[in-house]
Amino acid sequence: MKKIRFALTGATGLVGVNLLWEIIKNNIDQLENIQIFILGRSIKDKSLFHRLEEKLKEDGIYYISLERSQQEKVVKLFNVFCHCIELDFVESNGRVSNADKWALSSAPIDYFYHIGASTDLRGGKIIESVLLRTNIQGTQNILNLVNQLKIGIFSYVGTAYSCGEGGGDIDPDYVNVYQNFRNPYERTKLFSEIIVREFAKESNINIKIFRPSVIGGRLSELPIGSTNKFDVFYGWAAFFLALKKKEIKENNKLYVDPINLDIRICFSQNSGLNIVPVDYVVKSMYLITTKEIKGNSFHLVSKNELFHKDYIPAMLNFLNVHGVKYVDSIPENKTQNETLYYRTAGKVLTPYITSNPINFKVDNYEKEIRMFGIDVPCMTIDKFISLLEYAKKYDFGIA
Amino acid sequence: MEMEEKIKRMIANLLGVKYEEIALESRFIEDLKADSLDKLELILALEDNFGLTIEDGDADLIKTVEDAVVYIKRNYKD
Repeated sequence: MKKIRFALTGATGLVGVNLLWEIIKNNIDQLENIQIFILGRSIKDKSLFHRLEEKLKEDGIYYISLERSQQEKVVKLFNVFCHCIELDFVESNGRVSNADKWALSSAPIDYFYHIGASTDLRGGKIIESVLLRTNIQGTQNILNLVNQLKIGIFSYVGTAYSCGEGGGDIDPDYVNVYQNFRNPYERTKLFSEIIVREFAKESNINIKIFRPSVIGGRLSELPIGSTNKFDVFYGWAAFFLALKKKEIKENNKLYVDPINLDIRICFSQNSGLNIVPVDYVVKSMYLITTKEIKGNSFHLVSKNELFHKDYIPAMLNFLNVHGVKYVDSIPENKTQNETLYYRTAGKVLTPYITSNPINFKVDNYEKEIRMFGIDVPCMTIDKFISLLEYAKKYDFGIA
Repeated sequence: MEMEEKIKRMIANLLGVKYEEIALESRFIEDLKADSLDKLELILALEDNFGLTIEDGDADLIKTVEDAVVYIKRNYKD
């Protein structure tokens, strides 16, 4: 029987690792008939395979199956169906060892997912240089490799926010390089997406472009709220928690004791943040590629924005932080805490929370995935709080 | 006051560490027990005292007292 072959970059990141679990979950009864190539880097004293094996035991098995026998089977067979290929896609120009190239090219790769990227939302020369090298040159390097292989479908993960600062209805294939971007990250992600689109035209390869919004933890697979990345709104909570920690030294009182902070936060009253659970993102990616749902571009988003005026107070209440005021523009004479806020979390988030409302359109695939039992999610404050509950176990990554 | 001494005194003051305990090779997080906000406060203090702006990417690279001294020496124009 012909094996189904997958390849992934960015498999240790939030989307990548959840997609890996989703692939395994969907093929749990035929693990001997799949091959998953993971392209990535080992770190210091830990190989790429061992990093993933650890993640599988700590987190993946709960996503994949509730049955203990199946969990054991996956762990046992992991090194049979999962093949790690050492590749620094930023530096390598897409070159892999001869043995790995042979393994990759011995048969077609049915589904290739390029997920690896830098997601730094800050600015400045050094950060911009890393974003350019990772997101644009890195994508070009992966395409150089892909060019040497037989690929069924090539998938690229961009961002819904590469539509820039405009608002209103946004089509999933909307491209405008002349718009105002909130940060270099959005610009580099749009440019690398364009490189993929051009490559597809020239090489006649079947591509899928996925544009997720702000990705939060899981909301349907266990453990609920699970994430390995505490950025964007988590980073916001982390900032307030770090400020609180300066005053309340005892860790066991960090959430219990209230605190008053003299901070004025600037945000728009009529818009919100589109937060999408990571398990919806990967389930959609898997379905759209393997069921060959028509189209090239897909917004992987929630149906609604969660209003800033609703989730910001909810988050502060969750952290037991009080005294924060809401204003229409960034204050000029800042307090010490405001200076810290607008230099860190506020610097990254203010462009997002002062934008106009955006409606990322999903009608090009919504009905098709519903036929497979997947609905475009609606985000609510209760779900948002369950994301925070999980992050609380890790103190939002501030430890 | 020598620039190195001035920076060390600022660090001692901000982090509540004894001046004598601060070495050039001291790491802010691991050795001086600074958290991310302490480090940011130090960056802001360096900016105020030496009249310069330190970009986030540069700030990420300042991990030891020596990194801070070298950065200021390179970028400070008296």
